Amino acid sequence: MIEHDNVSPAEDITRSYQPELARVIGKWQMTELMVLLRLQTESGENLEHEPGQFLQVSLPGYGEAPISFCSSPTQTDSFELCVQAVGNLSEAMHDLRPGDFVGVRGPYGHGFPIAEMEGRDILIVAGGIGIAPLRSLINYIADRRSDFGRGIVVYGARTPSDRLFLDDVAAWDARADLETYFSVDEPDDTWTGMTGVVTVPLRGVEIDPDRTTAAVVGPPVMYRYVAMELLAKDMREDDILFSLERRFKCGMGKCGHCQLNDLYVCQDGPVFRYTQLLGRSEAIEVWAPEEQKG
Amino acid sequence: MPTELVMTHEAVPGFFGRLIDEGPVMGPRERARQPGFHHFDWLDSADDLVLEYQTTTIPPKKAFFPPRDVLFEFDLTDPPEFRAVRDATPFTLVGVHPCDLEGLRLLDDAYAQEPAEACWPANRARARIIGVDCTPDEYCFCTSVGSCHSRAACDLFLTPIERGRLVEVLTGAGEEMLRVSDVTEASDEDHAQAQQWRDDKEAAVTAGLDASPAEFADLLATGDFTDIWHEISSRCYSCGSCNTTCPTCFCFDINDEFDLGLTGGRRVRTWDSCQLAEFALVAGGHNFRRLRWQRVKHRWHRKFDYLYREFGTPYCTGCGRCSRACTADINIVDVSNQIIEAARQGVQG
Amino acid sequence: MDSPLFQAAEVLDMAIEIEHKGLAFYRGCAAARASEKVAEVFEYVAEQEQQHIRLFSQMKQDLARYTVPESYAGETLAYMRSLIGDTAFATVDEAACGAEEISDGLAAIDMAVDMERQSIAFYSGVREVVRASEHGVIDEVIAEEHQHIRRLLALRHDLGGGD
Repeated sequence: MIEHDNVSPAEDITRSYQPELARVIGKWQMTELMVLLRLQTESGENLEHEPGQFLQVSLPGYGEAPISFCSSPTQTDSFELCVQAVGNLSEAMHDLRPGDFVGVRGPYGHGFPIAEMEGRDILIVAGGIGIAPLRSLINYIADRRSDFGRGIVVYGARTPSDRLFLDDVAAWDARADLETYFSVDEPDDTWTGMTGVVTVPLRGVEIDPDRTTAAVVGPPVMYRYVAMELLAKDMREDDILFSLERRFKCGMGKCGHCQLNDLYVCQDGPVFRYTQLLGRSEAIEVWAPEEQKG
Repeated sequence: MPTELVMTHEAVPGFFGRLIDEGPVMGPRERARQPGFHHFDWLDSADDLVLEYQTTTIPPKKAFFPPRDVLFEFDLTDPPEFRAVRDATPFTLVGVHPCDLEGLRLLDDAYAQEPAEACWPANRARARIIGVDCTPDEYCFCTSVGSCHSRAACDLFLTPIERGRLVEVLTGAGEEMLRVSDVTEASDEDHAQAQQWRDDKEAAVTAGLDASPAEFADLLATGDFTDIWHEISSRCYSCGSCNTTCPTCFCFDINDEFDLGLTGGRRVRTWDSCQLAEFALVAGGHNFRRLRWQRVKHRWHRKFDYLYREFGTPYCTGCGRCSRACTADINIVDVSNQIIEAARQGVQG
Repeated sequence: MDSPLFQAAEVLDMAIEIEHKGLAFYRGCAAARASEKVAEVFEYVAEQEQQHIRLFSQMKQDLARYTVPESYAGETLAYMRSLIGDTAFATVDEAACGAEEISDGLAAIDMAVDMERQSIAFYSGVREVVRASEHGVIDEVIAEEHQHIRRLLALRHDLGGGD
């Protein structure tokens, strides 16, 4: 029996599912499918996210979807989200203009464990749109440079025109205190960098495995190959951090959609240690066919 | 020990009639188009209430977690406006079997885990609950999961005796529901008859798991039963009936609906099922439980392994609804025992 | 949204291709070497590579119907290819020619060890794409490749090439 003198139900519900308003204050079309939105909460409050955390973003009538923060927490007056046009909601978000509103609730999940990463060499491995959540971490490290050891950024995209955050990328590249390695899998005439998927430049990166923490975000296909490269560099499985993508409906470990064996990606993740994923069969997509019936 | 009183057969209609006069009451009543089958629904009068009924298809969790629930409404103004629309009317839920009481308790725990979900406790706080004891059928296995004599979540609990019902008063709210005219003191004979009912009920449960919940959790966690999952899933239609009828399933989906005028709408939460192929689908077409056997396996692990470890109780109340509802005759007890036997024999897939 | 689909069986095509190159190289080496001792080792590993080709072909049939989505067409194969280093021969013919061109027995062994190492890296990737029940088979193949390396290194030692 739950006693009747609880918080008033309406107030409680508001806290759970009802978003607060955030206003679009800037918009940049980065590629055909990717748009960068800069937003401010209408209340003026800072959402105080950690790099790697996500926000439930909604447009009334179109629904709600989880989107990772791509701005650093050191940027306090606004926050940024990178939206890929892949469905009704995200396509509608591409039509937003400065001054328009979205609903937001969060932040949710466990981001990168900044406190334990401090003082260590940070190896960032981004594949494709995985650069978006990692931009939050890279810019955080760039702003707090003395808190960390080496800062190494390895970013692979499919083609030169798929590369995101070109201004940031140029800024990282120009800094003497960040080491950058870029590749594209399908180069064009303009490309002067390395050719191949992200594991190709990663192979050439020399690290001290005892001092290094790797932060890895990319398409589902990428993770196992990056893991093999990092283990080949004698990194410990505990020091390899992967951020996983699942479909979060609630963000509170209740709706069940993001369950990965006994874990909820929205609560226990989305950033996981590789150790947590080993032995959990649902961390990777099973490729094997259905067994023959009968 | 809670206070135990007696409500005679004559007093029962008056008691429930008064509750219905006081406010909305949901309880088991006969389906209008399916005589002999019962469902939880709002009662118009005490005559509608059927206290001796076979397990309903849909469990009473729907009183607090409706299949379709409006989370809030919105107006497409600039800026958009969000409006809470929660119904706060108190109500009474009556006629709940022990296994379903246990189901409510399990959902209390699941939804309360930080960060707590708010709709469930808000709805639970609206309701008084009266449990009743039951007669098991061949699908029931409550004795295997410890729910056979549950008095969780309820304010009053009624057990049939010769002259009416023995009433266990479990909370202050339960005490408040009773008037002097409703009940009399219970005699030793009344107590003895209620105990006899409980003993008979326990003896009438014929189905059962061949391992304790703790052992079953360990067997599931350590074994690889891929062959069994393949065999079971070769019969499964992925229809999700097992989830829809389960008193402890709490997964949901959230979607927006527009009004016809397109000037507003609502965000709606609906029951969802982990057995449906698209449940674990993510952007880009990746699906982490693409194969049917993975989904069947997931259901067993979630009920008897993952949530058991999290909360110390299997997320199964032994009500047997999933087995009754299964279009492919997949029986939760049979499959569980198949796994237990395979694990003990070391025959694993 | 429609995603490009990766045919899981393509991974095994690559594995079979690697084995064919190995086979051609080892056969070529075996034929070109004067010493019976050297020829014997190369014949032995060639025999095993043939066995591996049979195993992979069998697994491929099971994977034939299976696909997984990728973020762009060719993504998975690009990652798989990145597992194979630059020293691999591009074609089976090149492998066979390569064997004939290498006059030095020690150089041939070094080349063989390199190829074995690449195939081990690649097969640890292949392991992830086949059924769990076939992990044992892949593990055996990997173990055999490891054993090839040991035999080749032992041979190298015997020929006086040091370790």
